[in-house]
Amino acid sequence: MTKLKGYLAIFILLLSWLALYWLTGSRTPWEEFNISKKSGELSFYLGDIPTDNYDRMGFTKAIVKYVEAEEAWLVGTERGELFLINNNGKEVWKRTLGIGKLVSVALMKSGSFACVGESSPEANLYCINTHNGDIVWKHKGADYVGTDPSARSLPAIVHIAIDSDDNVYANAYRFVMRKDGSRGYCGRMLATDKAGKIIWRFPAEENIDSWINWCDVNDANNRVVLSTSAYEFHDTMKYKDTMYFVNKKTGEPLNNVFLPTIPPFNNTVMRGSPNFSTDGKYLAGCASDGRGFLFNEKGETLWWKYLSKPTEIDHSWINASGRDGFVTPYGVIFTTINTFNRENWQLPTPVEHPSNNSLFVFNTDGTFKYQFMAKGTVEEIDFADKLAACAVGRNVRTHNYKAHGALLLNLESGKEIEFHPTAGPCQTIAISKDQKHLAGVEAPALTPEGKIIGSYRLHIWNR
Amino acid sequence: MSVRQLWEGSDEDNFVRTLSGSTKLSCLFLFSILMITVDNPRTLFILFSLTLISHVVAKTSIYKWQALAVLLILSLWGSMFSQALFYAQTPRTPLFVLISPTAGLLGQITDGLYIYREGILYGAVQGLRSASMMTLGLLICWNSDPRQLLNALLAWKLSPQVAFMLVTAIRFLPVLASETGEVITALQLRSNSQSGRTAVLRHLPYIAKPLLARCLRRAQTLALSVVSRGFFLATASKNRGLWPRRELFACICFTAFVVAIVGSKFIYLLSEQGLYFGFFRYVYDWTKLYL
Repeated sequence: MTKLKGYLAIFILLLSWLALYWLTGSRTPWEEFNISKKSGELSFYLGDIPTDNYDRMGFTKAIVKYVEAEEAWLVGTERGELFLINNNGKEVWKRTLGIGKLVSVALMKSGSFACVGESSPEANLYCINTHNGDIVWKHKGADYVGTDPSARSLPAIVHIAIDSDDNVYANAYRFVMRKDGSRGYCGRMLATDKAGKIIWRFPAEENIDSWINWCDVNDANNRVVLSTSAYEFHDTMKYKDTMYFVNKKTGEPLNNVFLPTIPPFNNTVMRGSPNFSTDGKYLAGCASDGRGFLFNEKGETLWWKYLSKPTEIDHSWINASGRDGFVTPYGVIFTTINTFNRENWQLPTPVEHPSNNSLFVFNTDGTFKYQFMAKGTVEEIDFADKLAACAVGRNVRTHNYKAHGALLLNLESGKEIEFHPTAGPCQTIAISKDQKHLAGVEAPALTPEGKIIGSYRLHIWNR
Repeated sequence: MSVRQLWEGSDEDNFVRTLSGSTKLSCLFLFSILMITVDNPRTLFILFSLTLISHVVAKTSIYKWQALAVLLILSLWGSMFSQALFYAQTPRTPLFVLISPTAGLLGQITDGLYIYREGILYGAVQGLRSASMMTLGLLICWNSDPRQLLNALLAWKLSPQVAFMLVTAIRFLPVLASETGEVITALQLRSNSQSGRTAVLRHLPYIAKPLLARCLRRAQTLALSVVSRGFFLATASKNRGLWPRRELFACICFTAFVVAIVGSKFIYLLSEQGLYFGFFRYVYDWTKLYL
């Protein structure tokens, strides 16, 4: 019997060794890229990350861009890793960029360099050589907007825009929840030239006391636009306006635009817009209150439409939040995301707003063309001529897990061309200009039933 | 095999036993630095596997493997279970709910008890560190003559008193195990309980006093023996064994390797603090991926 116990101990040790092999394996580089191949699809595991709850507000991020010059995908992860992967699934290079999460990316005109923004105690803005992954230059966002890791107030380079001269315009932003429950915002826009030399900062001497999530630049009108998106709005704030226009060469403020509010909101916020048209004549913006705007280059409203009108039901306001705005040759595009309860954003609403999770397309004169409703939130859109690639993520109201995937839409007809399902919510997407390749990143999610769906994976779909 | 034999070094000829004391102690010291420096779970697992392989090379007996297995299982799974339950860092992902926060009084007191996914991995990393050191430590204990280690320590100009104390600790491990066994046997024989008198756990709370008394007696005898033999005389410390040149070279290479690992980790930590240098790019990558 004693002998048997001894052999049993050795057997359990062997099982423990195997268990440890499995437990320690998910973070290793030789398992990092366990490629799965289906017909026309490649899929890569991007590493182990914490799984977020399905219903939470912020969610897992990733960045992906197609680098035409290299015919490969630039992929950044929440683990701070940056990869270049070609269409055959070969890893061209892999770099680690410190301790942060990579949250924003933009390519320079030639495609030889990319700017990548991170969320970390330093909030670095990196310029990367896309051929070999070398860091060409970097700036620390924390030097401009501060950092306070003890209060979990980490700065981030939340959005990057690049003009045709390869000048870089980046929004650095930090949010802090104070002990009394109030919120503080610190935002600053940085403009650098191609070599990384700071050209100007906006504002020059102080931070914007508002949330700044988006910016865009246009070569035709030499303007940079910056939108604010502070939900908590009070009279003591200095930067109360909705949009700020700046001369892209000098950083000199040109004009500000305040958009009147609608009930029940006390501020008009823009989270994923505005964006200029290529010719610089138009600017499309979509407010979180559900309104879509078309402005001229100075920010004067040409027309606006209700995409999803906030409605009071049983003393609760519900609406589908508006987010993106684009001006394309095929129309002015606005998007809405999930239905929310104004009183408590985390509480589920009993019904879906009829305009939620939709793309609305208008002509530039304001006439309505069509609405396309996806089954989940369109997390990101990328364009290639008349095709729009949409990353379809969570639907926190219906919990329809089959909605997740990459959706390809014909902008002319408003019809769905292809849909590539993913197990977890598809969080980001990009399409090659020749329309032959599509890539998206799927994230894992913990459902309210306690089940983990999906994993952190890059999918490449070759058409 | 007796308890004493189980914890005592064997006299069988094997590769590890033929190594000099200096080599063994150097390897143990360098390996401990490696275990502290490395954070990557898979690398730690590989290092742990290497220590197990070294036991295979040293032809550790099946009885010793059994004892080693029990110790490793307790240390590894103990670490993983405790960290899985009490992992306090964020982010953490609950895998199972053991006690729901709404489950009556127990739920209210504990605020819920969960198995955290990140905790299991964190526990595995900590467990692998301690398990690797224990495995390597036992390998050296089981394959070394205490005099060999004493000579090595004295050759490194360590004070004879301190060296003697260190080696005595190793030498006394089997003695202590044997005496614990004897005390438990005595307690089992003197037990007047009709049921469970042979259960070891039942007698564990009562072994401390007799064991301490035996240890003190043995320590006194040892002290008299050391003094009467003139162990700490300067002449006695002469004529210590030389470090074989081939082993010395291997240890220098291992030291260089460990210094490189520590250096790359240090450079990587500096890069996280803003001291980033482009020409160290491959060092940063390597450190992040493997260390």
